[in-house]
Amino acid sequence: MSAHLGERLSAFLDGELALDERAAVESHLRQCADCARELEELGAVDALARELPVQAPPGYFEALPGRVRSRMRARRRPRPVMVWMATAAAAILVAVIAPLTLRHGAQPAMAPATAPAAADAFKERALASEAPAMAQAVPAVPAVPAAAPTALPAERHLQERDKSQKLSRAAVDGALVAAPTAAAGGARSASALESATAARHDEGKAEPPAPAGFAPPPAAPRATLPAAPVGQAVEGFERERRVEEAQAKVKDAQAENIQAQNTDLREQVRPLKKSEDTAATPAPERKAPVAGALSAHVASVLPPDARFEGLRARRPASLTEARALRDAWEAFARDQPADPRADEARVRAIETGVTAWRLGGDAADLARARASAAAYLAADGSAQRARVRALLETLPRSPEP
Amino acid sequence: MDAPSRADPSRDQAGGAPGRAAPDAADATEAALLAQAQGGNLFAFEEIVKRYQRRVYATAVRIVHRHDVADDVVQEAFLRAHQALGRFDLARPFGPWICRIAANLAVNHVRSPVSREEGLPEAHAETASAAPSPLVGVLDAEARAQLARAMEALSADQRAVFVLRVFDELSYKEIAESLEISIGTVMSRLARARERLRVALAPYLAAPRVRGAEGGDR
Repeated sequence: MSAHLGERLSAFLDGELALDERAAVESHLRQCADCARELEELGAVDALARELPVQAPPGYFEALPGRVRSRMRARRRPRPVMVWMATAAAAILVAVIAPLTLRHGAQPAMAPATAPAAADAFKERALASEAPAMAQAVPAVPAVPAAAPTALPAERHLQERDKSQKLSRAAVDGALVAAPTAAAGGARSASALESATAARHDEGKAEPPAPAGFAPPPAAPRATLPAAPVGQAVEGFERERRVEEAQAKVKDAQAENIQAQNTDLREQVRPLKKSEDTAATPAPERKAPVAGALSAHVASVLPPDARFEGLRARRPASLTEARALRDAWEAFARDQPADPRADEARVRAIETGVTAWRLGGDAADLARARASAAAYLAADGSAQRARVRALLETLPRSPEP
Repeated sequence: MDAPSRADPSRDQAGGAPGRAAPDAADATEAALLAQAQGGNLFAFEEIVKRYQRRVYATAVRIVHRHDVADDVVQEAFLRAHQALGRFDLARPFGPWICRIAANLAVNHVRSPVSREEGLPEAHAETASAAPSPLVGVLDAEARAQLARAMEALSADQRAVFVLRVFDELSYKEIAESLEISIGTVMSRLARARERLRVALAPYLAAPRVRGAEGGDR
């Protein structure tokens, strides 16, 4: 860059210099042809850059709003009105239950005629926004952990995403090393729970999705629950109860399925992990399916939201990872055929298959990706054919030998 | 800023729920839509997504250079914007705000250890636009290709600053806030980025001057 004006030329171009600096630059430019030309060239660079078009895959923008919407729904939290209503409902509940408790417990001799008056008095207090105090006073309502002021939503999401990534990583790397006992009895993922409950709230599904069968470290606090008044305490309790019920079902399923396969699968995993550490060459053909089967199996007990997010967060850096991710996407689409994200999963399976081929150069991966793409294009419900066709156009005309 | 996707010039209805979306959503002012979205109306927010998705995608993909990553960034940016919408001042324009969110996410991704910049697949790469004359078109096409390569060669930090300034037209202060750096750093990174691009384009820069093309009159 010119020694004359240096970085000031760029800032001058943007009108970001102070008045006195600007005047000095203008004065210099009137006398220095080199700097004047450089300024002109910098402007030309900007102008040319603005002409660079950006093109997304065909059909991408048609599908994006719907994809964002479905993710928003999955993640949506109770809004203030809902919280207020839940608070009021809890307060009324408390107003009814507490007098009964008082009558039968502390004041057994209270005449029935006085009970309504006591209830009214309690109700008045409840409606006077003293719910948090009651949350502690009434043992029927479990205390929510005194959550520290929650992080900003953006930060909170980062935490969730981290957890999702941990989930997915666990599904790939260590799920079976940890063995099903830890898996079944492990702590619950806050994000997975919340996704599951949020989806249930929003979509009114009768059948709760399977909760996380395994999870990040137990220390993962339920900090993602907002610091909440009594309404959310009740709601949180309800969530806990439902999730525990669902977890019991999953434990049964795991006892039957995972533990049955545990022994021989672990035998298969050990050599896989060892060879991953040492071998730089593409993995033998049987490894990826095994890893894929494992992660798919473990992932299948996740709620669809957590599972989908976990898969999305994965960035395959090796052939084995790409194959495992491809298989996991296929498994998601297979396990959740009615999920609105199944279509995306099918497309991602194809794309990840191509990535596997690019990473490993194995014609079998390419052939499989082509076959999946052909099946996708031929299927009735496929919504992103243009995206898949665009992907196919990036591939060689015939499979490489 | 120009809408980035020339492949999708028309405003589409796909991906939404036409039957349920408010029929006048497309005509509503941005502030009205945002106010509805703040009240929890998902369809109002979806209309906002439709209006800004191309711009946000362009910001993201120019920084990360991969469609799949840009796709993640775009979705995440809209989700975060939706989550933070309650704090958004309706008197301010939404575009710069969402682009700042996207740029921050994009840069964080590129800085992250898992990031591996591999470049866009061929089919997603830049395509030439209509040129005013065949001769100029050849020069411009070459220059564009050279510029695209030079932009890829910038560091992610330099690229982010350049994208936010030149494409999204944010002030240095806004860029500094978005990327959590000082204004002085914005200034120096931008100057270095421009200088590298200028050097890369040097063989072509004489032509615009001859043609009388103007670029430095901003």
